[in-house]
Amino acid sequence: MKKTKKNKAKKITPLKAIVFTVLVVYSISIIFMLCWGFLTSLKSTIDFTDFKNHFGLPDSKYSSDEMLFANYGYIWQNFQLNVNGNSYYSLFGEHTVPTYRANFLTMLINTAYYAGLLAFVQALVCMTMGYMTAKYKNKFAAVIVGTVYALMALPIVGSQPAEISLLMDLGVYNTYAGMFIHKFNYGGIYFLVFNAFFTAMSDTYIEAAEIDGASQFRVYTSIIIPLAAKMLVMVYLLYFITAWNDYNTVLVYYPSFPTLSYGVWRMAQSNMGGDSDTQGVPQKFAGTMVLTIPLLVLFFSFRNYIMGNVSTGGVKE
Amino acid sequence: MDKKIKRSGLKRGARRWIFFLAIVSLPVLQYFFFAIYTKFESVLMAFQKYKIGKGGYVGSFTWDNFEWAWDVFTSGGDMIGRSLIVMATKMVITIGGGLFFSYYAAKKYFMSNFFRVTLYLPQMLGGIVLVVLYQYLLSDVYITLSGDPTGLLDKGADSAFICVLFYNLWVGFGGNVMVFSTSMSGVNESVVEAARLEGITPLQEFLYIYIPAIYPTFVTYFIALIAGVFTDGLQLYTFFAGNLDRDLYPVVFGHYFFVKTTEAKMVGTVVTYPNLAALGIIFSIILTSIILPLRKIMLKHGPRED
Repeated sequence: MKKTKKNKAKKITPLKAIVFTVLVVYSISIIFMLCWGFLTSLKSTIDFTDFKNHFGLPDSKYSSDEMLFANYGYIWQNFQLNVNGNSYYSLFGEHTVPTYRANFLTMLINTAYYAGLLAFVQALVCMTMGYMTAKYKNKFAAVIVGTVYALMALPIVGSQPAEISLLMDLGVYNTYAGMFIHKFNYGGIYFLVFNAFFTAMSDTYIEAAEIDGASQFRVYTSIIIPLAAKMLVMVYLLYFITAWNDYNTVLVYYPSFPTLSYGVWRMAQSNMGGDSDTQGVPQKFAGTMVLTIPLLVLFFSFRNYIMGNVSTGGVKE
Repeated sequence: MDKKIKRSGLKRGARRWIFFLAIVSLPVLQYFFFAIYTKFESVLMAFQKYKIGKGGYVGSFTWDNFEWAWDVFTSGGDMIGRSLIVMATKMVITIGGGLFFSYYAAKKYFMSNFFRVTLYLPQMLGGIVLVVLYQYLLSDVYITLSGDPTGLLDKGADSAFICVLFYNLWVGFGGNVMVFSTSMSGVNESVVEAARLEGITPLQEFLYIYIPAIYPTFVTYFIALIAGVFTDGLQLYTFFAGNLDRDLYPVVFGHYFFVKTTEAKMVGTVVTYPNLAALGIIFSIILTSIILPLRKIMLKHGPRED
């Protein structure tokens, strides 16, 4: 019986062969793109642009600088953006952000704040609200959950202008504080995931801790957070990846605090009159690789966490 | 335990309420303003006209924004057409075709773990990296290889649209496969075993066991695809920045909306926002009138697991 089963599973059908072929081609296209990008980032501009060496290995004889990773050093030194100042009126008066030139380090710090810290804050808020609404059963908690479901179901388009107006009225548009307030948010799928996770969790741990005299806060910090730590890490990683790649939000809400992805986008536009000093294609590719390599390292280090989530459609655990 | 309660001076229920309110108040306040208030505000904004008055902008009631928005909407046949083509293609390839690939991954056939990684990579790397690489492949590399003096993205809106469409399918393909294969992996093996003993073919297994099992997920993604028809910017901002020349660039409403919002912010005024808010309401009304009944019909008449 077992042998028959194995034979059936191994049987190659035309459909299976077609699907396999498409997946192989797809995988090759993705891997090719990344390898090509990395290889190009190692070339000199003369090599790539003038001598049309688009697919070959880097040829050092066309480069005045023979260092293989010269473009990365160049990016570190010259990846700079002109950040336009702006001013607006809030309910509390005029707010002005001066014009300045942001360098690589500035963008790295902004990215660390936006993707590193605020993604964690967002994951923590989601987890906390998920716990509160699951374990503190009351009408208010039900309304909180119901509202999130309702807003997700209604296809309301275009509240972005209203959000900008609100941030401006509060005087936190285009500020670090505004970024924090914006990300201190629990709406969305991961709140519901946490809510489901805590609803399924037994109350035994909580009751036992309370009998032992633990306060509500102690129960949460000493019992609940360790129990949900794995899931918190997973959601944090997913928020981190999203924030790391997100240049649109920065463009619209925080243009004076460019992140690396925003910088790379501006750099990519530089052939259309942008302002970065990294005009050559290999330098631009080095910039994109700076954005890519940390993500790849993160992905392969925490693959089980990240794929664990994805492989259950965002609702595992 | 009674001692502890007495020591704190409050009953368990009261302590739980206080803790609950203390913890949820700030997030709820944030959500109220940024998720609920902004939605209402965008509706109200659509009926307002701003003029410079004493102490700044003064709003008054008007229908003008809807006239402007309706004109934009009705004159955007090309933008609507492109959005519908993208939606239809995604339905067939990323959702329809994705179901077959998900089945392959869910059944853990040859190299499926490797495919899961490569399918997820574009989702993880995000738009900018792949767009930049893709752009140069279609410009510098294409020009060198073909001898054509113009890159594929610079040959006008139609050529650029095909390139952008292909890119969106290429990058978006993996996301659906991952989610569908996940739902499929939840299918009870004993059901599959029982069906096999009765002589079911792999295609029948796929159609009658796996498709019904993931049908609610399928409906969600199908509806989400329709819901996003007017907001999906197809990564056009990453490709072409704020260019809205419809002869040169394959502009769609999602891109148009984003660019106009960005421009309005850049001129440092709220005056143009009401127009966009009105356009958003028109989109919302159209989508709501399609999505809600469609979802109901799909869930009512779709295949069931039993």
